[in-house]
Amino acid sequence: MMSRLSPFSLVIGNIARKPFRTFILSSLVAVFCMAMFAGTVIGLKISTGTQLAADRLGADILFVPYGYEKSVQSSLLRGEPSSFYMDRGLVGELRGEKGVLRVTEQLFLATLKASCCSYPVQIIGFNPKTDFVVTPWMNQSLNRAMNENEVVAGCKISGNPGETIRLFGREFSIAAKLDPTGMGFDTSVFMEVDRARRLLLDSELGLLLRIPEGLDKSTFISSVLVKAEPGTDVTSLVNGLSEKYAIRYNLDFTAIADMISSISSKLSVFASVFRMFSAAVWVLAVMILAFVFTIILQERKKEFGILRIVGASKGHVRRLFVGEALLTSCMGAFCGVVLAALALGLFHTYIDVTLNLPRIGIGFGKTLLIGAGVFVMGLVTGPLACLPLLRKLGSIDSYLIMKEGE
Amino acid sequence: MANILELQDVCMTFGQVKALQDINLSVREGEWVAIMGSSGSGKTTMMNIIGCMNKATSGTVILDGEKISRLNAKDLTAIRRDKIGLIFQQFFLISYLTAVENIMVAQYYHSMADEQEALEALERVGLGHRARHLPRQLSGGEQQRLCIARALINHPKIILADEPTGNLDEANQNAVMDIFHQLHKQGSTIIVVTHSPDVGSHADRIVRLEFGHMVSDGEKKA
Ligand SMILES: Nc1ncnc2c1ncn2[C@@H]1O[C@H](COP(=O)(O)OP(=O)(O)OP(=O)(O)O)[C@@H](O)[C@H]1O
Ligand SMILES: [Mg+2]
Repeated sequence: MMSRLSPFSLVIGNIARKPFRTFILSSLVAVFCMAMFAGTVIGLKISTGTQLAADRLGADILFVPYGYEKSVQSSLLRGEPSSFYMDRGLVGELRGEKGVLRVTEQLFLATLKASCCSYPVQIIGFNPKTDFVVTPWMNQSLNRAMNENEVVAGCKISGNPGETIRLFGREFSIAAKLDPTGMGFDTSVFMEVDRARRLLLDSELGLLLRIPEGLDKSTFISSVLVKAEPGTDVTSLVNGLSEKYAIRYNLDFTAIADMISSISSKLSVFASVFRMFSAAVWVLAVMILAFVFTIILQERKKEFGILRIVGASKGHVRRLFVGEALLTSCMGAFCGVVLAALALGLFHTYIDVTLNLPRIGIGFGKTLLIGAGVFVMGLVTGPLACLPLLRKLGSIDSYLIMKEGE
Repeated sequence: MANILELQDVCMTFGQVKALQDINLSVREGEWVAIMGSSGSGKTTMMNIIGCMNKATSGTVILDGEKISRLNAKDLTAIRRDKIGLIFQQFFLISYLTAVENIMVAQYYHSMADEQEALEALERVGLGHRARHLPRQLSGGEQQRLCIARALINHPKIILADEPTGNLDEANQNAVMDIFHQLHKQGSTIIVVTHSPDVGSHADRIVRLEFGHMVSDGEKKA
């Protein structure tokens, strides 16, 4: 019973009277909001994640054995363990090249299991003497050489400096940790490159190792990272170097910036397709709502006419109708945003892995902002769908209703 | 007594159809007038003009001192809301609101909903015990009495009824007439459109229309 009758209670009453219709219409808005929210968050994750990775990697050019460009990308950006090997000779040769500021090598070891983690850990051998890629991330500086049994751990590897970690059946002590990188580094463990190589050869993995013919077992590495002199044109440097070394060392080579932007653009195609889909759902939602509202209006002309008879103005009738539409889309928008937020929150790891996204959060504030924006977009679908009907609503006159009622 | 309603040379045409032609009519405050005539003679058209639901093509309509033939749609709505109680042959009730709520809607758009007053209005038309029922749970006579209670709730200056008993049996028709008599006694102005000589006979005065012309206007023979 409405003890305080008002247009609001009329709106509520009407919405409650048609639960199925309200549910369907709200769901439509909810689907749009979910798609739009998820699409925008994922798109933003992609662009921030890859951009961050690019900015922080610190290297301009990356050399890997021919055919492994893709592996190193997923390794660097997403921490998927991989292993591939080439000769170290390249390091020395590059160091003498014009336009090259720094050169350092890395060795990748794929481990299946480590004591710390439920997920595979990438062991990366690096050269502390020449390194310019890993060192900047360390959250405390190592002013000494690392000893045999020391490692540096990525931020998602559990264990603090001073504690130990088991890798390949051996104990290692954590000498330092890295700050979050948003890249594969987060789930990697770093050790001195020669130590890593020995560890690899000593382990049972070493027996299965696919070391290409003719590679010196005591010096092989996985990748070479190059930092160009400031002001050097990276593209022409890459071209020059690859011309000289690609065949001899059987190399794949990438300008990091290109690599990042190509990944980024591939992923953002996905994101923008998603956004386009959301936009289409939005337009569709507005159109379907408008269509359904047209029918509803036809059905309720008499009711509105009665309201006009008892003194409601055109504005009253319009507000009543738009109010119902607004409430319907409001419920849909709210449910859609909440559901999408829940889904993104609960399954973010699964989503990241499935879609191969950089594992990086975009922050609560931004998420909230996107949620609010999507909510508003969902909210306005109802009133927007009423726009074409406003004239018609205004033209509902008590007189016409009576004529039709006869 | 002062004229509450005056029609001067009122004409109404719908395309080719001349629904009303040169109607001149004055109604004094507190008068009970019946408008009679055959089907299509223009009775409803005239009611709609008086009831601020339609505007005359030409001529002047003065209601309670106000020239409503000059007003725009918005002002007409306000006049209708404030001065006129409308009753129709069809029971224009909102199907999903209870009896008392149907009355409260009229209160709300007029000023503010007052449930106590709405219940008292139902009591006066003998529907106090059906206040919480939906229109479809009421008989035709009860629905019409509900419509009357709603028309009266905001104390209109003038009550316009278009075939108020057209859908009712004799007993219910008499009940409605009883209510009208009460209102009349209290000084309300009542204009009733009807086919029924029986209903017309209750009025002080009968106006007859034929083909859009007023053909007679007279105090009923006692
Ligand atoms: N909106 C309209 N458009 C065109 N013609 C109309 C319109 N409304 C009324 N008419 C015409 O005007 C004339 C008078 O109609 P009106 O409804 O006033 O008759 P009435 O006296 O109320 O008849 P009834 O007793 O059958 O209700 C009729 O010829 C009708 O066809
Ligand atoms: Mg009629």
